[in-house]
Amino acid sequence: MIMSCQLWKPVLFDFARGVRSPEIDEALSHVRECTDCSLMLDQQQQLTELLRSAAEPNQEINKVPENLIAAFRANQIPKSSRSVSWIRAAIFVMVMLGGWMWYRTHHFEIPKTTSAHHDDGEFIPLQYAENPSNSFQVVRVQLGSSDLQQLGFPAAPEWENRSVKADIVVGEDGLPHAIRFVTAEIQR
Amino acid sequence: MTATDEQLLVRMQDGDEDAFGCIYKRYASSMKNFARYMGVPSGSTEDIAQDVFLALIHHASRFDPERGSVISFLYGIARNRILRWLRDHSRELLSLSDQDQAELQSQNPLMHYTKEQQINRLHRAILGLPEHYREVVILCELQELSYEKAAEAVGCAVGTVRSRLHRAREILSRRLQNASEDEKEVNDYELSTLETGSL
Repeated sequence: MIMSCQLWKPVLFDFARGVRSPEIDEALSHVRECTDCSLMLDQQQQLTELLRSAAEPNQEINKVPENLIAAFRANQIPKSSRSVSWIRAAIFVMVMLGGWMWYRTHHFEIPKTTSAHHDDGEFIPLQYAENPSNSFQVVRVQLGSSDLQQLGFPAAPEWENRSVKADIVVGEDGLPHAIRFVTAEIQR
Repeated sequence: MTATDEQLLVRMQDGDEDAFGCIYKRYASSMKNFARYMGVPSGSTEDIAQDVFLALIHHASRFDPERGSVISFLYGIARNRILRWLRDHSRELLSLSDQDQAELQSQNPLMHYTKEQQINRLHRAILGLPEHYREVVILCELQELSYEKAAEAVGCAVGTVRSRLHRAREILSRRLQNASEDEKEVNDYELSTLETGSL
């Protein structure tokens, strides 16, 4: 086949299927001069005829299978149920949001000191005191052994003349709620 | 006035069971035929068709009218199901094709080929095509979809469908030609043997 045969081939294939392209007249004039393309067109037209007779008509179906009807019904959610679902979802979101806000306002978080030098120690909650509610302050103090005893630490004779630097969380009620030791004990 | 597929689909999504029934009655047979032409045995085509409509029930919202028609959407689902089925049953299909061969060999070679036999031969030739050629032949020739609708179902460009179809037709034409030449040779040989025997 020469180049022009390749060019006309798609047009002739479509023509054999009954689809007329705008270039069909030129393609057919080529076919009249080219035995290869003439043979090819003839074979393709025979193939079209055979394919058309091979295409079976679709059967008429009058009944939808029961299982499909059941699946269809099961998949339908009534509109009233849909709005109930939306209301439930909205309530759920509101409850979650409320819970989170309550947690944010009531949950005791250990405050972080602004001093970069002393943020390695952890606050020890003082057991007798309740968690501070909304606001609190961190106060740095120097405590002697008697002060420590008042805060609930056991008395030790070797601590008689010593003191320690600590951060104390003081709540709104003016009571200490947690303590963090900042330095090692120092001699008074 | 008959409702369009798109109108039926909208009604179906609103819970109209009759609309779903209409779509099923319109296209269930096409889906079964598509599956059978692709090589799924008749016993399993009903399952494929039911799978397609189950998918339609559950995923009707995925239909986008801007991307194609309802029929292309259904053929697209069917195509996926069929290709999966063919992959899952490739072993069984091999043994089936052996049976077909045995049936073919048992046929009388002197018998004149009827239209029905030519069609059977065509179906076998179609089954012998690679899947991407087979599906376009079936969609465009046997199911008479336009290039555009076939392209939507297959998920490729219109030009790709057209060129695949032309290539597939070339292969089919050549195979049918070769087969008829082989058969003619066998027939001529058998006839000459009979004639020699009768002398």
